[in-house]
Parts: sequence; structure tokens; C-alpha cells
Amino acid sequence: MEEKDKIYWKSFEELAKDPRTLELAQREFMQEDDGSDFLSLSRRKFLKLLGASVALATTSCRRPVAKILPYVKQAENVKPGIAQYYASTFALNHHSYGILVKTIEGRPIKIEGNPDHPLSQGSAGTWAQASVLELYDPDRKRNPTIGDHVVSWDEWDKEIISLLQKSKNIRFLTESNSSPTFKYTLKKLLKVLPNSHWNPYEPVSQERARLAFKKAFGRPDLPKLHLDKAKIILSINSDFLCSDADSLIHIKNWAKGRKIRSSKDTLNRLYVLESFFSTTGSNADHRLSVKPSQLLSFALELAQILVTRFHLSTDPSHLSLLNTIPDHSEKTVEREFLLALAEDLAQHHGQSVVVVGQQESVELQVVGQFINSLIGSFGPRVGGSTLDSKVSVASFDNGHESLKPLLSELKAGKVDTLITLGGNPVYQLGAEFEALMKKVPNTIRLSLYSDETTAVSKYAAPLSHFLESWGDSRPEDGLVSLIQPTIQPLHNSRSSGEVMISWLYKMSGKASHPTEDWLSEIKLYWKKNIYAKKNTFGSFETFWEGALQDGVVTETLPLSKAFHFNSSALSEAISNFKKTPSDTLELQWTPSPALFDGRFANGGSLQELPDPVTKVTWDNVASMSAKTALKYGLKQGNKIKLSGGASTVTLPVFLQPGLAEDVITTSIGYGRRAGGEIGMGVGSNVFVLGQAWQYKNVQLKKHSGQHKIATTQTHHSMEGRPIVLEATLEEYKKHPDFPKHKIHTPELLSLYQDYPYTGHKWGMAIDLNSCVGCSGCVVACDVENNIPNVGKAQVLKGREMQWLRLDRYYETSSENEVKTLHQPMLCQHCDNAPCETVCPVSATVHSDEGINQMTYNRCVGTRYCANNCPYKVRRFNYFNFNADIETPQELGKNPSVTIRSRGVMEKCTFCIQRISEGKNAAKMRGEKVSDGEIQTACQQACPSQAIVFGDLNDPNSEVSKLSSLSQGYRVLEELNVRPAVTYLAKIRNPHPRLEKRVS
Amino acid sequence: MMGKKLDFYVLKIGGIVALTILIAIGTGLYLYLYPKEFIEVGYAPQQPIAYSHKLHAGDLQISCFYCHGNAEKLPSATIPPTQVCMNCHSIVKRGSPEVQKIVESYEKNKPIKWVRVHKLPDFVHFKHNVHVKAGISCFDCHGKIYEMEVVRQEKPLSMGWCLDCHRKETPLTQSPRVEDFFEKATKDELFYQKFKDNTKKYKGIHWVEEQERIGCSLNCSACHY
Repeated sequence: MEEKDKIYWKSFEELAKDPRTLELAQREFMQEDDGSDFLSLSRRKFLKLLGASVALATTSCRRPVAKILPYVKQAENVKPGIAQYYASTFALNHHSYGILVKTIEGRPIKIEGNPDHPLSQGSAGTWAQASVLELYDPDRKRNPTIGDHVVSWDEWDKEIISLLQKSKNIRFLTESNSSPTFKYTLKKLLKVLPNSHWNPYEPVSQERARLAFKKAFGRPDLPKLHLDKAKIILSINSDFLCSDADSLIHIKNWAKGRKIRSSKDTLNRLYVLESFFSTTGSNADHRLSVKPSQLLSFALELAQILVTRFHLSTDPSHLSLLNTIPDHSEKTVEREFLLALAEDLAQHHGQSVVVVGQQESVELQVVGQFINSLIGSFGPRVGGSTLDSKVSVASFDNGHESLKPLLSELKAGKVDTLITLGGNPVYQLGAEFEALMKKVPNTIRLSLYSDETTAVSKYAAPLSHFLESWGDSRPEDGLVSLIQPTIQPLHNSRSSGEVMISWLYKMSGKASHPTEDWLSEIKLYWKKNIYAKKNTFGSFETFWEGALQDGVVTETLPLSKAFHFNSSALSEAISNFKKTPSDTLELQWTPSPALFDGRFANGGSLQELPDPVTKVTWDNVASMSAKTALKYGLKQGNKIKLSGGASTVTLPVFLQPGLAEDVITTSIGYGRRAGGEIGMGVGSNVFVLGQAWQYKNVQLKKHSGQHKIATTQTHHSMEGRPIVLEATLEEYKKHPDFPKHKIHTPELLSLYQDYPYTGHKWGMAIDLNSCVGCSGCVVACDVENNIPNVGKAQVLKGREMQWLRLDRYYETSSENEVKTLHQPMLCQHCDNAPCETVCPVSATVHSDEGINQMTYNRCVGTRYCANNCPYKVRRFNYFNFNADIETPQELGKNPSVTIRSRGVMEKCTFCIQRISEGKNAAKMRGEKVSDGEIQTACQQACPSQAIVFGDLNDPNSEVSKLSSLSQGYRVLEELNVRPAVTYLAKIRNPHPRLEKRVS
Repeated sequence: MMGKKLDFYVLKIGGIVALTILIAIGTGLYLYLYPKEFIEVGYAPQQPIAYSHKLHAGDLQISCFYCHGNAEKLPSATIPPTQVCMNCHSIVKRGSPEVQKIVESYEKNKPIKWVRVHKLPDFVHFKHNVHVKAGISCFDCHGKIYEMEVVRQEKPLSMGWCLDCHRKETPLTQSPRVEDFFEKATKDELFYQKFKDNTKKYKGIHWVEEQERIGCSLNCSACHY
């Protein structure tokens, strides 16, 4: 079989058989130590500690006195130890989706998706999961300040109001917010303040997309994307499966077309044309990597093929316009890619869609929409078009272009009061803006952290976290949801709405502004604008209670809009297009899948979350292909200086397969100078280069020194054994049970009698076909199981603690394409577990429900179990990582999971606390546990529903059905360890002609 | 040079070995002499209010669940809020100085700082509700609370002691279920008398009728996670 030639590899070091990497792969633990640990004790210190511990041991026979303080008056609905869920909304940039906040005795401890919200459907993404840790971040700003002095809110307000009343030119610079009430109230405030103006700004903006739509269709509204209705999808530099703010719903919809349950099922096909290696690209059936400057040329060529070869346009002007583009040679790989793609797009008229990255040039986006209009993405189509003609998503003119008037006003010194609300313009806009801001006489700042912008503002006050405040959000037409507080503000903070209302009330007086509190303002707005349009018979209070409980309200949809493509937009794009054979070095930015635009930089869990593709933690790197590195004489970890224009940025080199030559990619959001201890000084701030996302003519200079990159891809290696299996759809249809042909498992015999699992037998099925690698499960697991962050130094030693890791494999049997596989790897709960037999103290044993149990209080830390685990999923507490948590972080810990101490082994427990809770609930009802009642944290978070957990003894359970599918296999089954996790092999859907070229 | 190195090794390794042996012996002795039965059982701290379980549960026959109702419904039994005391004491015995403390707590909205008697380590997750549901009596683990003026810990609450029950393969014998006992005792004077006599002979789980054993887990992760 030709599959035998396929080699899967995780890193260049492994592929090149680097002796050090191979040696490390042989070991479970990296042994070297730089001596900085406190383990290296002097003899004197050792004896001291010994004496102290003996003294402690002999005096501890008296029991410490513990107090219990019951309520005086029992609060209604508060049940001690029982979680309560409140519907709320997680908003990021222009997007938002519904969440359920799990609270225990008034403390939010976990975020879950709201099943009733159409944009989350029960899942919550990486950033929403991590937001609960942000709430308890000890580095948050705690008090209002004037200069360096801490003041009370009353004093602060008084000062600000007198200042506002004196000011002649007031400018608001805010982050994007899709809240209708926020906008309404801010507009009222702008009316009260003389000569005031509002600018929203986001580095990841929708400005260019809006402009492109305005040019193409005359309206700047961005239609909603329905990936579930698409058979053929082309992504041009769009990371809709990971780092986009609205990726959650796109992952969900895309994965609906990737489920194979029988050999009759079909798959969607994803083509990716991009200049960086996105998570979307790693899931592509076909991926073409080109330079950023070449994207437009390829898009135009595709349009040309569609019009000239497939005659998709009846407009003769289109033909004549596209004929001006020079022809290309027929035989190149790129041409074949485009021809196959064009054929697919033409054949699936109305069922295909082109998604262009929103940061791309307006020209490229116009051409993308032109192709969409050709292939019928806008409909009309029975069952709905791929781009919604009715519903538009929220979008704003919040980019750098829209900011220019404000910048010129600042330069001219016209602004006397600048209010920055949220966001972080000084970090994002660089030194130039910082200098401008310093010139403004009055700078007022409202933010979650004391960040770079706060540092140059005179009046600063803390904003409440969204879990502490009221609010609302309208992510798209016909959908509006509520944000409700789940805890009193932890610090002396106020929400942006509360601040605005307080100013309004105090400035305009009671008569003209009757409400003093933010909640009444929201209610008033909802009563007038949302309740009134609902035409319900119930009272507003009933409606409000219902909305609060559901977390979401639907509104009447707008009428269907026509999308007539404006040919002049295309001619403008073509006339601006110059085909330049580019041989200069080009730089491409991407939003960080972990930190987004840097706002999440102080989240330890996110910093330590390996990038889905590079697997780099705690850094942004200059990714480049091995060819490019060779050309410039660079090696992994070399520091380089990149300069575009006046500024330079220093980054470490990271070798990344699947990038075009002379392309360097890096992510934004790193290199923070302020805003919390964790994020400060991690990586480099690439915003210093400017605001463009792509740079031509970048100068590269080698810088002295070597940078240690903490990448987890070489850790926990399974040494080239058949771990990941894949087939094409065609192969699968011929041999539905292909995994059995790929791994030759001998008859598995045992000397012992099999254990009869009479009750439950817990197991899991993981569908590699729908897993996109977004890593939401990893963060969910971190939060649910109180998993500590260890920091970069420890990650470098292979001591990361995440119980669930996403292994990323490359497969490069074809010359031009890098294929990628993501595999979630967690404890496999083997029935013949190798870890159990070697534990000298029986701290890890098997339960009668098939769970490999880990008893922390029994573990003495021999680490034998980890050594003997073939899956490399056991994690050891080298230090008491929980010892240095700061108040109020302890409030965010899950009380149902023990905090592990130093010297203890830990690993995935299949969320045993949830199993216990579910079983007990069923016992109390006197029923059996129903299928789907118990969900693990990773399963619940997974937007593509790739993870299914349940009872294997129940033949009707979802997990039993999935586990018995023909494409199912167990990793390292031949070892006879009998894992409880079944993987469904990856099934790709390549274009038949392109696939032939490969083999 | 050589001697110095040797000295160092002899001193260091010898010293460490000797100390380890000493510590091992010390720890062994300590554990042998101070098992939980000795250090935990009998713990009866003075409470901020001289509340008598003997009076309320024994003589007045108020059901355990009147105050600790959560034991039936939730994993933790919980101590009742002051409000529950005030259900009766807003009228009953207002003159008593101890009751005055309750009234004060209620009026000033200040919680009463009870001293915890029964405590399990943090890595043990015990659930009251399923045990009550399974027919385990309060008295099995808490002893004869209805005879105590001051609550004391009667059982060691150690893992071995838990497993004594969990390991019983044969149907479990039990003390009377709390509801049954109080209901019967209120109606049947004779039963109450018999019960009072019996309690003197009460030796934990071997007391009265047999009940079916349901879902008694021996898995580590039933309690430890």
C-alpha cells in the first residue's frame, strides 16, 4: 500500500532525526536542570528544613479549629455546593455569543455555551472559557486614580464632570461594542457634551470588509456566513476556524459538513489560499501557500477562469475586464489548483462560498465578493444561500482609516479632552499615538487593567469585568442578548455603562435624565425598542424575566436584500492591480489564536496554550519556511531584526513548513509593556511596524543571540508509530474499515480473565475529521480541573501541565502540499493500563466503571506511571504551582476538584467530578443515568462536537454508536492496553484530479 | 584531597541515611500511637451558643431534617440559618440568655460562628444526600446525637471506617432511618421506650432491620478526585 510511504512528523528536528530530539523522545522526563530551582539546597539549609519538618510533625496532634458561618437569612435559590447557571453573553470585538456562567455560592467558576443561543449552541470558545480567569486576575486595576493618587469614585466623577463641562473639544476613543444600549447612551452623552465626537477603534477591524461591500454592492453591511450550507469553501487568508472573533459558530457549521457516519455520507471541500499557516489552512483539503502580494493575482486569475472557461457571467464587461489580466502558463501547480477549484465552484452553484480575510486589501475583498456573486453565494436558493441576503452581522468602521480624522485633530492640537474607553490604543497604535496623547491636556482612561494607555492618562478608573456588570449585545440582525452580572464587582470598579449614566445624571440633572443606574437604562431601552416591537401580551417584567433566563431574544428579521455586483468596483480593483514579480521579503501578520489582539495577554492559561499550528507557547515568532531560512543563513531560534519603514522589531526564527518562500509570518498581541505581570515582556510587539497587516520589502538583519522557543511539539512524542490514520473519501468508500488494514493488530490475548463491567463502562469517541484544532477543549479542561500554569521556563523543560494536548502532525508525501492532522490526546483510560501495574503504592488503579483513577492523596511521586505510559499523558507537579496564587484567584477554583500539591502525579480523569455529580443526581431521582447527561468539560466546549463521552455498556448511547463505526480505531491497539478512547480516522475530500497528481 | 572528599561523602550520605531512619521510626511511632480514633473521636468543642441536641432532638423529638434538611437534598448537610431557629424562638423561650444570642444574630444580621465538629479532608468528597437516600441513618455516622448536650465526634470518620460499611457484600444492617424513627416514636409510646432502651445497646450498624445494599462503591474516585 502506498500509505506506508507516508511519514507523519511533528517538527523539523524530528524529521531530520536530530540526535538530541530523538534522545529526548526516548525519555519521559527531560532531566537537565539549570540549577535555578530551589531543589539545589545547601547542606545547612537542608538540615534546617529537616529540623523544622520534624518539629512540625511532632506538634500537629492538636486539631485546628474550623468555624462554620451559616446564613442568618437563607438566600433564596442558593444551595450550598450546588452549581447555578446564569445566561449571559461573551462579547469580543464586533461579535458576541450566549454563554452560561456556572456559579457556586455566588462565585463564577466556569463558562459554558448557552444551548438556546443560536451563535453558541452550547459551546464556548477559548477566550470565553478563559474569561473567568481574567475576572479573578490579581493584576486588574482596582481603584480610580488621578495621577498617582487613589481617589473615590465620587471625587473622580466630580473632577471629571467639571473637566468635561470646561472642555471645548471632547473625543471618545472606544473599543468596538455591539451593545445597542451602550450606543444609545453614548449618543445621549455626546449630545450633552458640546463639540464631542466618538471613534471606535480595533486593530482587528471590519473597516476594509465594509468598504469592499460598499464598493461591490453599495451597502457596507456584511452578510452572515452559513458554512453549513456550503459544499465548496474557499478561504483566502481568512482564519474563520480559529483566530477570528466569530470562529465558534463557523467551526460548528463547517463541522456539520465533515461528519461521516456511513459510507453514503458526503463531505464539504475546503480550499485554502493563504500567505500564512492558519488553523483553517491546517484543515484544508487543498492548501496553496503564496506570498501576500500574490493573493490578489490568484483571486483575479480564479475570477478569470470562472468567467472565460465556465461562463458564469453574462455581463460582457466582466469578460473584457478580466481579459486584461495576462494569461498564465497552464502547467504550474498553482494553475491546476485554480482550475480544479474553479470547476468545483462552478459545479456547486449556490452551494459554495469564498471567504476573504477581513484584514485583506479592499481590492482582494472586492474580487472575492465578485466571485461570490458569480457562484451564486447570495442566492436566491431553496434552503438558504451560503451568504445570508437578510441577516447582516454587526460590523463597524473601526479601523485605522476611520481613525485618521482624529489623528490629524490630535496632531493639530485641537482636542483638549480624550476619553479612551476599553481597547488599548497606545499599545496598538504605537509611539506616534503615545506622543500625541501626551500632548492632550486632559486624558481620561477607563480600562480593566493598568495598561500602556493608562500609563499616559491622567485620570484613570477601573472598568468592571463583564461577569460583574449589566449589558446587552446585538451580534447580528434579529438577535439580541443580555449580559447579567454573576458576582458583585471584586474591586472598586464600574462598568462603562455605569460611568456614562453617572456622568449623564450628574450633568443633565434629574429632570432630563430620570434613571441613575445602568440597569434601569438598559431596561428602559429594551422596553422602548425591543419589547415594544415584540407584540407580546405579557407585561414588560414578564418579558424581561424571560429574556434574562434565556439570555437571548429574537427580533423580526429585515427584508431580503439584493446583491447586485457593481462592475465599476471590479474595474477599480483591476486598475489598481499591478502584477509584480515579487522577490522581496514579505511580512504577514495574524491575530494570535491565544491572545487575539493582545487584550488577553495577561491570561496565563492562554499564554501557555500552544498555538494550534506552531505549538509555540509564551512567544510570538517569525515563522518562515526552511528554504527562506537557508537563504538568509538562519537557524531555529536565531534572533532577527525585521524592519519595515522606520521601525524595527526583534523576533526569533521559527521554521514552519507550508509557507511560501520569502514570507515571514508573525502574530500580534505580544510584547506588552504594561497591563499585568504575566503578559509583560512576553514576545515582541509588532504593532511598532505600523497598522498594515502585510509588508512588502521587509529588511531582515540577523541579530546576535539565540532565543529559546518553548514549543510543545517535540514533547511527549510517540516516535513514529501509527498514531494518526487518514484516508480520502474515495478510499473510505472502497474500504470503510481501512484502519484495520493499516494497523496489523495480532489477536489480543490476556493471561487474566477479563473484568466484567456490569454497571457503567465509560468511554470516549473523538472524531479526527471534525476536530479543527482550535484548542477550546484545552482551556476548558484547564479551568474545570484547576490545572496550574507553569511558565515558560518550565515548558522548556517539558513540564507543561495541560491534561489534554492537541498533537499536530504534518504529512508531506506530496511535494507541494503540507497536510496537517490535529489529534486531541488525553488519558486513554486503558483497561490493561500499564501505569497501574507499576505504581508501588496503588495510587492509580482501575475502577469498576473502566476509569483509570488517580488518587492524589496516595501518590508519593515515583513517576513510574508516567514512564510506563505509552500515550505520554501523565503530568507531574514538580513544584507546588498553586502555592503562589494571589487573592482573589482562589475564588475561581473549582471546589469539586482537589488542588494538587507538589510531588503528585495527575492526569485526565474523564471529569470524574462530573460523572459523580451526574450519577448522584440520577440516584436521587431513582433513575439510570441517561445518555448525554454527563458531559466532560472538553466535550462541552468543543464547537465541532468532535468529542463524545458516554457509557459504552449502553448500546444505544452516542459513544457506543460512534465507537463501532468502521473508521474507528484505537491508538496503539496492538499493545493490548485496551484504551477506552476510540478515534475516528480523518477522511479527507480532495479533488480527484489534484489527488492524482500527488500519487 | 581524597580524604576530604571521602569525609564529605561519609558525612553527607551517612547523615542523610541516619536521619531518614530516625524520621521513619518517628513517623511510624506517631502514626501507630495516634490513629484517628484517638485524635478525632471525642472532639467536643464548646459552641458559641449552648445548644442542646438532647433537648431538641431527643426530648422534643424534632426531626434532624427540620434543621439539617439539606442532608436529604444536597451533598452537604449544612448548619441551619438563624432564621430556622427563629421559626420557634421568635416566641418560645425569649427570656433565655442563650436564645437572646440567636435573636441578636437575627436582628443584627450577624452569622453565628459555630465550631466545626465533623470535618473531612479537602480531597474527600462526601455526599450526604445519596447516603440518606440509600437508607443510611444519621446515627450511623454521627452517633447518638439525640443524647448529646454538646455535640461530640463519635466515629473516627477515617477511610478504613468508611470502608467497613462499603465493603459489606451481604445486605447491610442499619440503625433506624431518622424519619421512620421520629414518625413512629410520636405515635407509639412503647416504641419510643423500646428505642430508648435499645440505644443503650446501640453498636452502630448492627442494630435493627436489614435493607438492600445499593450502589456501594469501592472505587477510589468515588470519593477522591
